[in-house]
Amino acid sequence: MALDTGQSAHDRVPSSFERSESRQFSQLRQFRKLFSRVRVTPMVVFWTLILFILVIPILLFLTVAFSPRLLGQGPQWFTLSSFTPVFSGAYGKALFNSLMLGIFAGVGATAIALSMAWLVLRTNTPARFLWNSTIFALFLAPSYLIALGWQRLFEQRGVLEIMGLQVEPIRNLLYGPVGICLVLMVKGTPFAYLVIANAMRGLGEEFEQAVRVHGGSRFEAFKVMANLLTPSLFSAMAIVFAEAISDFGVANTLSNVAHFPVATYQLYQGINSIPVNFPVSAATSFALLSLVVIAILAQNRALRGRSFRTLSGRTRPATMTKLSLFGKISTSTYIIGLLVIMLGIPVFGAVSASMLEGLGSLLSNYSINFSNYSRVIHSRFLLNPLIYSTEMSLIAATIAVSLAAIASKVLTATKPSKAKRFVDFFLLAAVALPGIVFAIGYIFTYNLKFINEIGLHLYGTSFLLAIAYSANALPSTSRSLVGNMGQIQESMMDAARVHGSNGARAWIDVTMPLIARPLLIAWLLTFSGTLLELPVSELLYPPGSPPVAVGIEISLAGFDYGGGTAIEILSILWALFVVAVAFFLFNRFAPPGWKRLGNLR
Amino acid sequence: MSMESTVKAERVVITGATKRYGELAALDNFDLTIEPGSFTVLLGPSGSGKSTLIRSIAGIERLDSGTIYFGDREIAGAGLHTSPEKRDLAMVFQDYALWPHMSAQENVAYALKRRNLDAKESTRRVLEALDRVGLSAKGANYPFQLSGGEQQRVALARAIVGRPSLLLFDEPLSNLDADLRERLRVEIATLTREIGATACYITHDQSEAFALADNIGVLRSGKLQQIARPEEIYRNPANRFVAAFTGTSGSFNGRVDSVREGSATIILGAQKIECRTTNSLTVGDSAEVLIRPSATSLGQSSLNSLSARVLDVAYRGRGYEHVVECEFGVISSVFATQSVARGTLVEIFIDPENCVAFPIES
Amino acid sequence: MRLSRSKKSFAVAAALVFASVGLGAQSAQSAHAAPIKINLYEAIGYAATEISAFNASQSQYEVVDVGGSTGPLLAKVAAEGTNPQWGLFWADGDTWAAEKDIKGQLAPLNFKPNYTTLGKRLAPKNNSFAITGSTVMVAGVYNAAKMKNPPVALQAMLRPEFKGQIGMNDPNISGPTYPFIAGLMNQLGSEDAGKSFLLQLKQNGLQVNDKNGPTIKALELGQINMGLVQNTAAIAEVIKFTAKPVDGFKPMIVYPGRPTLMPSALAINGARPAAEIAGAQAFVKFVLSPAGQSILASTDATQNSDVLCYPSIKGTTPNKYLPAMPTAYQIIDPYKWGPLQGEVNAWFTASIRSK
Repeated sequence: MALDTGQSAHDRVPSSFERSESRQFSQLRQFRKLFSRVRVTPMVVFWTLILFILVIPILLFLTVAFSPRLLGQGPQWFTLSSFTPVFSGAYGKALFNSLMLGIFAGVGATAIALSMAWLVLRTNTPARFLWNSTIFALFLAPSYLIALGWQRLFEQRGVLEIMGLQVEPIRNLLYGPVGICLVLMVKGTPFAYLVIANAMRGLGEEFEQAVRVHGGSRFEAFKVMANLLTPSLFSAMAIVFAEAISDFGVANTLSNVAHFPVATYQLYQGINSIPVNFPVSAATSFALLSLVVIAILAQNRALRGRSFRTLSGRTRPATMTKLSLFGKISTSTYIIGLLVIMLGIPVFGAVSASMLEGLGSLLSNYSINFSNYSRVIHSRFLLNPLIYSTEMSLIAATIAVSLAAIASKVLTATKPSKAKRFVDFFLLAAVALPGIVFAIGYIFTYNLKFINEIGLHLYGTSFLLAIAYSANALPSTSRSLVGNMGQIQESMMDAARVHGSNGARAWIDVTMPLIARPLLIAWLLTFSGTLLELPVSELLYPPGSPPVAVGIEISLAGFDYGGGTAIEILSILWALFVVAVAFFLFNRFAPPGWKRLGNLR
Repeated sequence: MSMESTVKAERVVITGATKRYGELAALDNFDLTIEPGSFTVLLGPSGSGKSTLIRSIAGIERLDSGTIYFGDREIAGAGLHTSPEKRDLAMVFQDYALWPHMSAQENVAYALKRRNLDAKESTRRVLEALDRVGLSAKGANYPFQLSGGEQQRVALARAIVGRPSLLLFDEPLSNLDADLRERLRVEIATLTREIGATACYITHDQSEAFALADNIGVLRSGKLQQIARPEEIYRNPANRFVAAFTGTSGSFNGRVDSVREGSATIILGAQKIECRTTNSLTVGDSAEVLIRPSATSLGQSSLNSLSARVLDVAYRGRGYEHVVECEFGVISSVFATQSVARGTLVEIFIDPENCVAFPIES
Repeated sequence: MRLSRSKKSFAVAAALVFASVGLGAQSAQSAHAAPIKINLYEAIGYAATEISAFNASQSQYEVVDVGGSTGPLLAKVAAEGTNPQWGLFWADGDTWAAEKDIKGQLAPLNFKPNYTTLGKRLAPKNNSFAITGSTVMVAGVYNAAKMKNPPVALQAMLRPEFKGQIGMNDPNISGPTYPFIAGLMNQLGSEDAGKSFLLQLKQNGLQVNDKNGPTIKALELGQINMGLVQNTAAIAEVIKFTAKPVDGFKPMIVYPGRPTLMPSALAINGARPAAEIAGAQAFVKFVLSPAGQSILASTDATQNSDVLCYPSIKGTTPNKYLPAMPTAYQIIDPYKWGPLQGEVNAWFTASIRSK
């Protein structure tokens, strides 16, 4: 642009002010040039966030395995001695046990979930309404409650034995690998169900109809449908696998008589010893990650190169198979039976613990009352912590779901890329490592002196806690969205962009409504999971503001079992209430097009 | 009711467009000029690069090198890639790409957002567009409640409602049944001309291309083979590929006997056939004669006729198409108003103006 | 056109960073704002009451409560490494305090607590940390309705009539259990003697549960008839069933062998700023003062069993539910037994907990 002064700008001698200004401008221009080359897009912001909230904390924790001195955890700058106990013969057995647990729990949970999804979404079985309304309660049952409930039923002088049933053979089976696997399967099924059901809703029926028209049986049509759901099936299996191998509480509760070591035991030994032995725990984490690599390799092999993009405007909602009376009865029995096992048992365990003044058996003449509940209402461990946890969970759920939506988009890109593999691995790694590892990684990262020196004082703040919660929830949330994201035909977005919307707008207008319901469910899942989350809460909460899970833990540690479990039950009821309100608001106020996909039938 | 044209049509100039996928070059140094207001069809088999090209024009794909100009505005070039929403065009997709959570009316209205009209005007135009494609009664329906043809018509309405200066079509008729295809083809042809936009249309269907186009560009392996009016392509295909792809009912191999300006005589066994030629042929060379469907008729034995036996007869309403077999090969699409029984010996007259000889590609 | 989108994203990123700095700065400790905050990492049930009382009694310092379980809190401290955020640490046991003292991480008390004779015996010689009370590891809580003559001598537990009836905790998970095992080894004369005793106990059907809670539950359910648990858990159980008696279950307490006295330690971090350390000293002084010690007696033990500790300060009235101290107790040296914990715990897992 030429200056209209009749005099060229270069003719005048610039003043010192102008000189410094022009220097600033040229610096700014250079800075701008650098940035325009880097192209700061929303994706760049996303990757930066992933780096700081997920990758770096995990990497720093792993680094301690071979360089303890780096983080002040030992004298050596480099050593491999921490790996020796981890990869010795005895420990190899534990690793193998964890692998087997993960595989069986993953496959089992996915199979049950697939059958449930098909029954609920594709048939008119009467029990489907019952299932839909209780599914959320399943998420809120922590695994130790499930284990506790099993124990109450099957232990010596437990409920069943008092009723006169001969349960010793089952007990011997339960207190060992079979029992652990069953509990983990039960724990994983609700999640697998959500992932698969989400994907099934976006699957039109034309594929199954094509099979039937060409002479295939109903079962063959089912197989085709399952085939098209492969990405979500693998997503579900991978997550249940990773959760199973990272589990500690269940294995420990049920294996105190059996000889069944699991990989995480050594990890917790390292953390609980005095002095704390992080290097061994970190080395154990490497071992767990090696199992994750196996899972991912298997997944990639199965999904190689195929496209599962089936969701578009042409998708017609599938019609339901009408069951015969026998069909209705048998399917309802199956569903109710599963619900009793999956939900009834932990509820029984928890309720019996919180209500009984005396022994753990309902059928004795011990008193049942609500004294514990009336007492904890005024407890310092309930009201303020519950409010704080609710605030944090709201924030964490929102951040987690936003990031998970982007992450699931990366994971479902049809072009295989390094980015995709990287995100895939790190997300699953974050699941496979117990929450306490994650939390310690956060302390390592955000308590570093030099981080404080550059002005970031994040450790001990609610902000960091919220971020940690989000990062903790990110992996499973992303995978729950993978099934849906992978179904949306790419031309949906292309059409929006061509007709005038930029990337973000197109995403909001076109993609988000198609995944509105899955996003809502993912949000609620994260909310309820974060409300009662313990390991990250315990290690990262801001001084003076304990989350409700810490309050429960302190009560239980003080031998106030009745009070502690009462707080837990009340928190769960509160979470269920929030879930119910959210669904009500969605059904009431969301545009009809958003609800069309995946309508409850 | 026709739509008024308020559009300033754009000229599209593509120079040196290249796009690679690994080793494969989807577009190879591709040049193309689309005159404003013209209807250009890019014709080619799958893998010829036509999809890549139209998506690059739309901005959904990035070229590795080359430039694209709309009028005198550079849209894509070295270091420059204007995003799709800023190119002010519209596109009709092969799979309709209607958004399942929006009704037909909402789908069409979406394309008007960038025009920033007030609500009343916007609704009027949307209804006008829907009415123009014959779906004013179905505005409230969702895509899954519409048939394939109806969905594509909604997509068409969506494309034209904003009066874009450039309209792109990505094989929009491929997913429709035959009779619908023809009807919608007419819609596309008339609507585009009514609003006066420049149109770029890709397809692999030769008859579709010929029916729609002002200009046809034939693509093969990322390179433009020939661009010309349909008549020119039909009469004077630039090479064997173009000829074969734009309608052949048979081809014979022979030897060049003599060559003149624009025509040649080819020796087929004991016979000689007169035909056109667009390439340089040398006497004595091996040559291939490609025969257009319009070149053949049943007739008497004469110069430029071949003896053949009828293999198949198909009724076409207007008459009969025969497939015949002669000494040198099979000829299909031999038309006659009366049918000739299978097995009959006939004479096939080959019109020298409608068959073309090419050197045999070694 | 081109830059505006990237400018927008950059602005968003920058805003995020500034917001985090701002939020972080707000929550971080400001040296200029009064009162001076000190973080107390504690696993003591009545610590919160002490904190409220201390904060109310003066305005110069504010102790902030970071409550949790001992294990995770120690892990948190370890992870904070060379940039610690904790000013005070208060938990059962003193091996952790001894370990920190060995590493030179503690600021010794700047006053001499008014210890009882017992307190003087339990306290470290160099006054590097305070002893706020002690509990007993273990008390044998047994079901008197089923077990008429509970074993009192150690060797008595190996008798066939007690086969499969005795349970204990896992030292890998229950922090206070290691001092019990160390105590066994100490009174039997050597580490090996202790290990051999435990192996014999295992032969006699010893049941191992994670920690106090599960062991007591096992007692209630009749899976065992005597649980070797921390005395606070045992006393809490007795109080519960004295208030509401139940047929067939009457918990009572004996102290097998020579139970180990396990002190609760309150330590000051020497790596924090001097002003904070001064405040920490004031808090410790308060806890050990008559005002602070009166909380032991005034708190309801049925919901806060940690107040069931034997006081270490002269003139303190113990909680009314606290029974008399066992006559034959022992005190073990944390500086000697602390370093052996890792190896002993690992041995326990391999030899006792597993089949």
